[in-house]
Amino acid sequence: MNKEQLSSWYSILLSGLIFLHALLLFLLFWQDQVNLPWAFQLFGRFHPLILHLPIGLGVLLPFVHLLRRPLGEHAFYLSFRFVLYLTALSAAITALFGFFLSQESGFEPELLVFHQWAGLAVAWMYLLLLILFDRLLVNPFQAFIGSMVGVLLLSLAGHGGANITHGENYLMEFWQPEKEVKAPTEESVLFEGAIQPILEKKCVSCHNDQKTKGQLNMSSVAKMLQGGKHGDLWKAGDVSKSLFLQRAHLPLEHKEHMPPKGKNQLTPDEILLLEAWVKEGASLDKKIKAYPPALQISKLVARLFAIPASIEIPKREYPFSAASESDLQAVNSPFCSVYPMSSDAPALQADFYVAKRFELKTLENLSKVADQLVGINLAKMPIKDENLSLLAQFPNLEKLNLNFTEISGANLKALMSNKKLVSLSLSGTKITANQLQPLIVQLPLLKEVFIWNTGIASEQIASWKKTFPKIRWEEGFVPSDEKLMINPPILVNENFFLGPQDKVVFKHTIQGTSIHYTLDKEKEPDSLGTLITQGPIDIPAFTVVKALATKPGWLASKVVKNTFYKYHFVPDSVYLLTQAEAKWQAKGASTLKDLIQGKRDTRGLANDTWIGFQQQDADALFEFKQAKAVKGMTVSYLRKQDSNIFPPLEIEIWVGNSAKTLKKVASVKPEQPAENGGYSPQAINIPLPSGNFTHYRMLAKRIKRFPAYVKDKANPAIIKLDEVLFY
Amino acid sequence: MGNEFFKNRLNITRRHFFGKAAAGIGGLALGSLLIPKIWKGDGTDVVSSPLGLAQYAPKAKRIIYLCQNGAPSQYETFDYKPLLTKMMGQDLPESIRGGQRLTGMTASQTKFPLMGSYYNFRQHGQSGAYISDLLPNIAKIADDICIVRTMNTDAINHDPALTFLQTGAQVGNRPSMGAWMSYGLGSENKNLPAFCVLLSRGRGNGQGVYSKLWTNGFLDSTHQGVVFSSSEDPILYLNDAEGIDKQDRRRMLDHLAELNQLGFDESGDPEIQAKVQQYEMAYRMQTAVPELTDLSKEPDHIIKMYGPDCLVPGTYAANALLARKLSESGVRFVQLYHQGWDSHGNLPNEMGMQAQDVDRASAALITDLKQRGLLDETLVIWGGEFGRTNYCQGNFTPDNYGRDHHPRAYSIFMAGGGTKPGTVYGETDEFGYNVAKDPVNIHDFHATVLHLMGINHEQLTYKHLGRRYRLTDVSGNVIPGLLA
Repeated sequence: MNKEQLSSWYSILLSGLIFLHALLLFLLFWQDQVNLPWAFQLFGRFHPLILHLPIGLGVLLPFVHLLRRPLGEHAFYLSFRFVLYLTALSAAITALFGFFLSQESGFEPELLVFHQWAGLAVAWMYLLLLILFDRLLVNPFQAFIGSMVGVLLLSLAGHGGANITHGENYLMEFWQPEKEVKAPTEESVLFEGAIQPILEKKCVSCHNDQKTKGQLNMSSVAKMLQGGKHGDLWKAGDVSKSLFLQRAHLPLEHKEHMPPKGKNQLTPDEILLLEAWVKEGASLDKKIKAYPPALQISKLVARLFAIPASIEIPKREYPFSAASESDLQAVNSPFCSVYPMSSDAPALQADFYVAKRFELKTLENLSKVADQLVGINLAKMPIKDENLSLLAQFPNLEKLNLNFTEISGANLKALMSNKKLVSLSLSGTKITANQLQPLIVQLPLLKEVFIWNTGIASEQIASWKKTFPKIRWEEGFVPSDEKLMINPPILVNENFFLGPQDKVVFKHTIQGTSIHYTLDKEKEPDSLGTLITQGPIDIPAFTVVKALATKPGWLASKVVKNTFYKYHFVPDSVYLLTQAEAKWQAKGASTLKDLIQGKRDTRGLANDTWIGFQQQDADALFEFKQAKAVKGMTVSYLRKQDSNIFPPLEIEIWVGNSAKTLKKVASVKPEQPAENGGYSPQAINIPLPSGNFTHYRMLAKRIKRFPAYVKDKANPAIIKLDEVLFY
Repeated sequence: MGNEFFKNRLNITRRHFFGKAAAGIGGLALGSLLIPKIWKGDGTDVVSSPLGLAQYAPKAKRIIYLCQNGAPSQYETFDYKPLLTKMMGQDLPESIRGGQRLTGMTASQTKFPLMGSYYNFRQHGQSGAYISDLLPNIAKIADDICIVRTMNTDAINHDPALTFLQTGAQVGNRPSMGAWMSYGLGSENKNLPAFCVLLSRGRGNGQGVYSKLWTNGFLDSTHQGVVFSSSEDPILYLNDAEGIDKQDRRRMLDHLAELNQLGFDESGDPEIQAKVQQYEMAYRMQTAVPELTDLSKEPDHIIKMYGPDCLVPGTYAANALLARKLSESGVRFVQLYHQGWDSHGNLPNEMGMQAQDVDRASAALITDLKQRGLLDETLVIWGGEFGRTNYCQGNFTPDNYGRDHHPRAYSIFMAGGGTKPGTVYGETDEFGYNVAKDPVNIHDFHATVLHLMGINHEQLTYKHLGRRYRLTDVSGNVIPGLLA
């Protein structure tokens, strides 16, 4: 590219520049009519990016002078001109884009105006310098001065722009100490405590000594009262005529809305409070509590100033320095924790754990941190009277816990040297009043003594409370005469089918309780007439066991009722002589001797603990390989009238030594329910005449006629059996 | 996977390096003079010395949280509202309900008949606190407790509300309160877990409790709650198997630890070390636990205090007694849950049974701590996850009714540990529906509890997935009115 080409490029650039400036001026004057298409808005968004070009180039410009000597005048002239053109062009484009961006809302108008004019000044400045330089109307020194002026203007415009993006106090904010906001209380004056802080937060940034927009200054009460261009800020008692509230209620888009759009707005709660304050006379000295409660001023204030008073954290100074890390490690053991009370204090606490691992030398060892120890917890440790002398080595001990230790009190005087003791726990020890009193007198700082469960008489404690009113004497729980009901006995058995050796076992968790029981259906096991268990209870056959617990000083417990099934013999095999119902086959004949208790069906699904008969009676033959002297049989069956499951009408027992030589020896009729009802397992004992047999037949007949309450009488009654037991 | 563990370790060692180097390098002295904290970091995202200690002198060293799971009604316990009895059966004014969302259980109700308490209220103690006749034993210690009537929560159903109450967030991936305490304050007694959980179930309508309520969340798993069994053996398999003595056990654990170390060297998974620590904890528990869980030596007057059930394993009373013994032995956080307070129907009867379970034992626990000189340093908290509605769920029948869930205001109480005794904090409106004065939301409650434990809730943090987490997340204010 030769010189001519270059300079023709320059003239094109210059024309372009002048065009840009003309456009800028035009837009500036017809600002109100401008309606930007979206593409220009996009250009606007590039303003923050490209603004860095004129800054960089503008700062570079004066530095080009450094090249003047090494390059020679001509080359300098060309270089300076080159950079100047680029600077002027980028400044103009930046200004134009800036203008586009300014058309978006949300900028603080005052800052914007400053930035706009500073930016224009930059663009014009470089245009002017360029024209003068091009026509050789300035010498290099003047050009240097000009470029420095450019840097100055750039700084101003840049600062103005930064104020818009980052906020006005961005640069200096860390210099200004944060203002402490004190939450107002009921006692505070409403204006000072709440109204003024709101105004300060939301209004004063534009209405202050430096900046008095609308000739209004709200930086002090006196100045607020002077009002502004449009008159007084408020009219006591009349919300609608109070200017600042009128402005607050204008729509946000309205020109006169306050605070202006883009600024931090008043919240609804704040407006409510301001209104309430104006309505009540806009008093400057009325306390919050003086306002009628119906206005709920204090509630509003509480809501607005939710920041609670800062929590005071009292820091105690101790007259000793912290223990060394190595000492601390040396005194710590798995059964003795020694740790600082908090990270900001040197005071230590020592806690002993696990009585059977207690070692006296651990306590002796604490002498390494004797000065720092302020609390020792020896509760339940096997500490004896003579060991108390070891505690004398801790001059700063404040809290000592000796609960449930083995001390008798004989050596309590050993604690007299622990002058700083504030809290002393002796609950559960054998100390006496005469041993304790001399010690108390010697401990000037003592504030609390715990002597629950010591045998010291209540009268004595009452008298101490009078003699030492500064000390809190903790006597603890004194059992009242109120009699509590003791809890019922707990059944130990988990299986309710008891074999030949199995017995019913109850226990009770409270020592010294008696357990009473009865096997008699008609009786209740009251503590008088019935048997007391001395151990396991033997039952002869299927039985309901009722039991309760008693203990002197307690009310008798509720009665617990449990049903047990006893068996002495289990048949070797069992056959069904009739057909079980297909859907209630369960595990077949063996269901009757599996020793698994019948369960309730879940979700209507039949389970295999019950075997059911409907089209035929239930008839089963039990076989023993060797003849057994069976005293009786227990048949357990289900009663569930609402599903047509009824007890057998009659149960017959046949015995013999082969299947063909059976003889009927017993027949019983189980009780039939008089009313409708749901799931209820039942059982009946059937005593047999004495004799040894190998074969036993049980025939359970269905009821022939349904009671009146049964609705669906179309099908025969059902029998469901769980188990047949031989006792 | 392995790569992530490796990066994590690099991260930790780098931070440690910078943290340590700062102390030694004199050339940086000027810089640290100007900006004293520049080299220290804030030490909160890496486990370092400030952890394991209270930041400032704590009022409470330990917490026993008696969580009444299912939400006991405030109207039958601590928030006396005679207006509800006066307006019995009338509709709750819409202005009071103020668009409060409803649960699926009452959303279809067209009427909200107000329901007064079935139980009478009386004033108790010098504080004159109103407590219902349902809780006669708690009423007796009215001057030892601090009732908060303006608890409020964000959730309206049990699971999110309970999770919020326990972990500070409704979603279940954050550490539980107890885990934060374990992380922030460490264990007092090295032979027991710092966070123990005891479960019991009442006869009322129950709601489930899940292990996410006592989870360590993103904290190290050594901080998770250890659940005790409700059986006679609260900690199963603690005894050595036959033929194995202490030395065998020790040798076995040492070898196991070596094997685990090999695994750790390979993958760097921190969970491996957590596991090793848990084995060691279990080993130490073998000595410490038997004397704790042996209730047979409890004297008669203790049984009378807590009630006879306290010797029946798995009951609330037994758990309350065990909680006292654990706390006394330095367990930082004992968490009880008693299920069965979700009285949507048959409320007078169900609450009666629930109260029978908890009233005597809760009061006994506080009295027992007090007489041992431990109440000052033990914070006891009693309460549910939200409250119940002031209107009746379902059809209105004066003698038998139910109440639905209500998150806007409910009552709990605290005792000891630096709370202000004999206080009733906060007021609800006449209907008991909204907070009228001094609200305490769950975050405030957590902030206050941490403050009592000597921790600034804004400073106990853990960095996870790129941001620092707190129990109070991004809110919460300490409530000065609750502090003694």
